[in-house]
Amino acid sequence: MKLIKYIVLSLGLLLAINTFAQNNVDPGRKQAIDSLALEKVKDLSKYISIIGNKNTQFSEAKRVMDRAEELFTTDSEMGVSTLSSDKVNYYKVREYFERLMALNYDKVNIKWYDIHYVSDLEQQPDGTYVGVITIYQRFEGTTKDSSLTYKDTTKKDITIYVKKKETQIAGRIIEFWDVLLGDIRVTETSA
Amino acid sequence: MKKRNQNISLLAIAIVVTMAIGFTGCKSKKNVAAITTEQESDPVIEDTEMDKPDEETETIKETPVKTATKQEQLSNYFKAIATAPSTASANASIQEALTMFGTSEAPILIVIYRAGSKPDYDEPTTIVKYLNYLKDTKNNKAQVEEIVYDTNGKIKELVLKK
Repeated sequence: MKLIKYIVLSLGLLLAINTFAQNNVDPGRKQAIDSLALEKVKDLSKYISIIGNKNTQFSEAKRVMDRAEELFTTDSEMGVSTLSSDKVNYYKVREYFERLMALNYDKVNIKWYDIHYVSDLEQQPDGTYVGVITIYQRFEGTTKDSSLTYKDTTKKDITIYVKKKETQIAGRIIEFWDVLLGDIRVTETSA
Repeated sequence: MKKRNQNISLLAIAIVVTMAIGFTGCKSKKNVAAITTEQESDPVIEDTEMDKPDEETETIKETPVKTATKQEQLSNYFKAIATAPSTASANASIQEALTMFGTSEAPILIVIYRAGSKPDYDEPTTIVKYLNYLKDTKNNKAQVEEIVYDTNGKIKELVLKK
């Protein structure tokens, strides 16, 4: 009976050792994954700026929308706020991009800055790393005669998901880190 | 008292055996990883067409001069696209750069980290998407690490390193 107890105890200890070994990620690799996710958010900021820019041709804007949409998980939503209301509206990312392109201004300038982690990427039981990156967005929309100008600064939180996946390239299996953005939530809006 | 000592001894033996099994397991995994890494790290430049995976691959060793020239050409195109003053100018450079490739869908692997000889990759992309990425984001940090050619001397696969 005692022997069985020790065997069970030993198996538990073995499991604990293996789990510790698997979760012990190389710090250099972790840093590379952190940087990769941050870079994807910076890419999104460039795409949003291009989509919003009134000088961007329709075909280019559409292509960039496709690329930007690929950065997100299915059904992700983007929060939109204004200074005139406390309400935050949420749109599916594709709809958000289309609304952004159709904004009734003659000149739109969108810039993201101070992009940083507020919650580090942490490995979940299913192996996915989840974290949160905060950005500040400066929006400026102006009509041709400058009769209407709207400016605001919005703080937004972006959920990040990073998971190791496999694909086949020229008959070889390639493992890669898949970074996807989730919902983008508005946390502050100011002038 | 003697029985208690026997129990403690049994427990100690069980822990030692468990740790030994645990470490042996880790070591075995490392060995498998090391073998896999060795196989993967062989610098083979394939000559076969991508749609013939079953045929025996032939190894071509590119002369350093040729690789350097193509590498420079590619790097120059990447820089021209990322710093283009207009969309039209960037698109013209993209069209020129694409002539170096067998297909606009040629796969691009981007190494983000290398522990030993087994690299960690970003999500694989295609050359046409990557060139447009350079145009859109102006992010030209990745350097050419390896070029794989097809039988016509066109690039069929590219490995970049960030």
